[in-house]
Amino acid sequence: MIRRLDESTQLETDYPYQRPQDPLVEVVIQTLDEEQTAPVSIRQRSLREKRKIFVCSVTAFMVGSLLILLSSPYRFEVLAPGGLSSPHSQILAAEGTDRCAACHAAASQSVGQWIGTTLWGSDPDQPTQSQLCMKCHENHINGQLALRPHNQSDDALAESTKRISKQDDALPVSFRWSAPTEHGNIECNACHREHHGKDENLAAMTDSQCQVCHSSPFRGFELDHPEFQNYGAKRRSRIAFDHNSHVLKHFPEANVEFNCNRCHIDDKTGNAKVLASFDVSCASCHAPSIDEDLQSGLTLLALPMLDMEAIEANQLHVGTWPLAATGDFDGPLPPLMRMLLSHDQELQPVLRRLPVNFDFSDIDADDPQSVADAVTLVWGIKRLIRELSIGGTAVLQQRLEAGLDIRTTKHQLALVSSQLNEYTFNQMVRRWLPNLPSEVQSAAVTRPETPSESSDQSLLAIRTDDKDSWWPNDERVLSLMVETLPPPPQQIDDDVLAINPLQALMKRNQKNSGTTNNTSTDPQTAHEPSPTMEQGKDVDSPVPNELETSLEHRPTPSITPTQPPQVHIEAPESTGWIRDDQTFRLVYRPSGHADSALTQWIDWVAASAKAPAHQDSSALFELMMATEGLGDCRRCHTADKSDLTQRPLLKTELTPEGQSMSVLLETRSLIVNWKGTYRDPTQKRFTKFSHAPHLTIPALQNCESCHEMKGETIDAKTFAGFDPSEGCSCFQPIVKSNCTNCHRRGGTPSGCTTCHHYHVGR
Amino acid sequence: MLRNVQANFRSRRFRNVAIAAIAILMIALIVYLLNQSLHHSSFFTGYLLMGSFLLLTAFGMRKRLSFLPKIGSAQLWMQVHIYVGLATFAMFGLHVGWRFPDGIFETMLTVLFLIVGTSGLYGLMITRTYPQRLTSVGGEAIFERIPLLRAQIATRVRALVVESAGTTDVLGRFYVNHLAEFFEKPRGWVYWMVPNGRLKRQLVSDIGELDRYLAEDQRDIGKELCRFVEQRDRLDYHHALQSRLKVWLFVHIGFTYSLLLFSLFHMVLAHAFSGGVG
Repeated sequence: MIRRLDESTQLETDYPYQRPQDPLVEVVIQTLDEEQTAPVSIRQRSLREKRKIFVCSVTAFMVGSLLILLSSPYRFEVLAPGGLSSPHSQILAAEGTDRCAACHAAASQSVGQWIGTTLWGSDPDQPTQSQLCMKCHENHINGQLALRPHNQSDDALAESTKRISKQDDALPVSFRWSAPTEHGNIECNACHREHHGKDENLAAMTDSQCQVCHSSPFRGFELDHPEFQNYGAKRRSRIAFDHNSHVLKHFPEANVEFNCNRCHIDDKTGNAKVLASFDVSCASCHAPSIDEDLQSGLTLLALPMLDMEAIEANQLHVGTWPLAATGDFDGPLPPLMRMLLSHDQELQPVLRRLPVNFDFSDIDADDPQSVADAVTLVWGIKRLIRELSIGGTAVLQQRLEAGLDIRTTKHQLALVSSQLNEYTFNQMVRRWLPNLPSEVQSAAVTRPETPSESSDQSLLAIRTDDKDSWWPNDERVLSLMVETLPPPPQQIDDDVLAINPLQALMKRNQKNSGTTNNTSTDPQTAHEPSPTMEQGKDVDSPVPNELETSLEHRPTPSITPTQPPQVHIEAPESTGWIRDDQTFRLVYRPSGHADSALTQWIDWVAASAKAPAHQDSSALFELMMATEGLGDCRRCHTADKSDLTQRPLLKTELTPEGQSMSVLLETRSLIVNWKGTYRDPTQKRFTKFSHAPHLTIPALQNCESCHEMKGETIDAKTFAGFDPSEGCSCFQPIVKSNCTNCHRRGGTPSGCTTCHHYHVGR
Repeated sequence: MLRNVQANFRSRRFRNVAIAAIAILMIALIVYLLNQSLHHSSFFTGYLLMGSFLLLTAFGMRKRLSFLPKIGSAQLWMQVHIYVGLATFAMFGLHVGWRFPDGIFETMLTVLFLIVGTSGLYGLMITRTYPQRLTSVGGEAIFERIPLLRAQIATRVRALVVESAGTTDVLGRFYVNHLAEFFEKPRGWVYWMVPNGRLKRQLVSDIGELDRYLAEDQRDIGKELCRFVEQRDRLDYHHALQSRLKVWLFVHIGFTYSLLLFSLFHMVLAHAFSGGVG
């Protein structure tokens, strides 16, 4: 019984807990024995009131504490739901307290905006968290496909799904919700959950997570993983290497032990086996033959032998022409030069009439049309040489890109044109065709096919009394030749014109002996060499008497050399660009295996969609891409159709004569496998495998425990084509049972991510 | 009759426990499936927790907000409050992944939840057991009256001691040295934490030892003092147990609103920083 008392009421007790502000209440005290009923009054707050005060105090304290923390500079330290993983923590350490904004757009927003996001969704103008992730990770993941499943395009994913569905016909039976996708995208944090501390492995995925999409029942690798589909034997090896023949024949013949580890060595990480270098693995047997095959070199320019009588008989003219290059029509039209000539509009009608493997010996001297074509071709060659002497490698690049329909880079061009410039071509012109500048200029006005009657205006070389020498008969032209020649007179001493009689005689002698001078391999370097011979006398090649006799009868034009010709004979091992003044060729002689310039030429031709199909470049394609082509590069280095670019797919077929012939299959190009092992660091594949941990097991240190050889020799045609899936591997496919011995439940890890990547592609 | 009541109570408890267990199992299954599907189950369990908090808080608000329509009986609300409260422990475990959070704010939130939750559990336990313990010691005392009853006993004891002082000072000395602190002051926090009769037995024994120094009539006063010692000790026991029955609500309700406000702020944070998931 409690009643409130007046303030004046005198208290009858000195209750120690009484406070002045406490309300006055009268409490009727009942004694334990119900005898005493004397009322005792105290000041007392009700329990409910006390509780209310306590609740308000606690709530105010907690909210106040939170507000203080939120207004401090360490608010994000307080709000962070946990520590970052070590990589993120280290990277973002420099950001200080603002590091949250690196991943969360909300970190730069106000609390009001946070509430707005909660009520009405995120602001579409703000970057999503995945977009912020890609700011750092775009170097490893294709930003365009980052949120697509497996970073694959819809088409690629559909293709993969179709392929896998064929392997696994099981229907999904497990009940799962579909993945949290919006427009088919999977946000980064659907799998990568941050703020679980520094030891959290963000990349870890469970098999169940994989099975959100791959919903077929999967109890374990050994039970439900489909059998490997021709794993390890899907394609031929990139280097045309028949393991069986080497094991069974070549190594025993050479009395060398066949050891896999000699050629297959660990990479830097020890995870993958890569091929050892050519010097380590192949050179001891194959280097000599490769050097021999490279001796012929790649001819960029060559002057053919011209039958000047036939040309004159048809009232045509070709201007000045080295005397040594006259006689019967002869000499090939080098494939590379033909490709470069195809850019010349005036030549195209003629080139169309010429066979792919045209040779000037095919010219019928009695056929006016054939001779006219030869003359047209000669003027095209002259224009090409003239342009090169003016524009240098820029012209080479222009004609190359037009002829092959490709794009080249400065770096690529620098690889092939080292020591090849305007000076090189000018020196060549000065030696071979000193009147070329004026000739080409005049020819631009007067078509060579329609010679003018006024022969004094013509640059046609006329026959002199000496049937082996052809010189301009016009004094004005001769004076022009002198005027247009850049070198001083003493440098003209070794002019190519002086070599002509020698060349003509040598050619005649060679023809008599059944060979052509164009096959001569005595070169002269492209850059002007220092004289190695005494003036007027070739110490290495004494001039025969008949030659000396011939020289005595030669007319003496104004630029008649006063010294005998100099022929600089380079050692056969000379490499690089070589100007051969005897055979009038500008040749690139590779330095040996893996010559960067030659591989660049081959890469250009391989990349060209036009090369194999076009009449003017197909010979070049054959020269470069045939297995018996230049340097026999393709005998070992296979070429694959490219899936990466929309360029032609070609297939090599053998002609009835046994020669390889390229057939255009579709618009894709080729990639020559210069390396035996191809690892594109920018591309991540679905499947991963590391040799290192497996080779710690003694039983697996024998390579054949997994890579079992078939024991049969492979047909060489397997490596000649351009489809890597054609033909067969030297090895039996690796089967799942190779792995399930260890990778099973209770054994070594056998989860999906043990062998598979989620993020694939670039 | 009593048997029927006990049977009804058991069946009701079995039914409620079964419903709560089934609900928790279903929630756990949904969480499992969500996690297996790359969804963030924390949003699902978070909204469940928030709803549970609001429902649990409504139990207290229902009594305060009298204008609200009365839905269900007070007993039903109490049952819902108990079993939903028990279920929130499981929901909270599923929400945080059965680990203690690392973040400062989330740690504060967890501590608040644990304070409110464990205080609720404690309250449930003592409201089920303390009445029997109080009945077993005998007597009834209204919690608010206990201080006055203590004062009354102390007054009577003083009067008895003064009455005995006319013949001998034995009881007076004993009172000053031993009984005054017991009767005049409240018991310490140790007794409040662990109420026991050790001091009572000691004092009664000591008073008995005084008989040989007392005359016959003073022995009766000694017996009277023993009776007051027992009464005071019983009052202290009542006070200790009843204060627990009162204090746990201070904690339980005192932190409930903090928990609710912190949870709302946590929900805002979770949405703002979700990164497109949820």
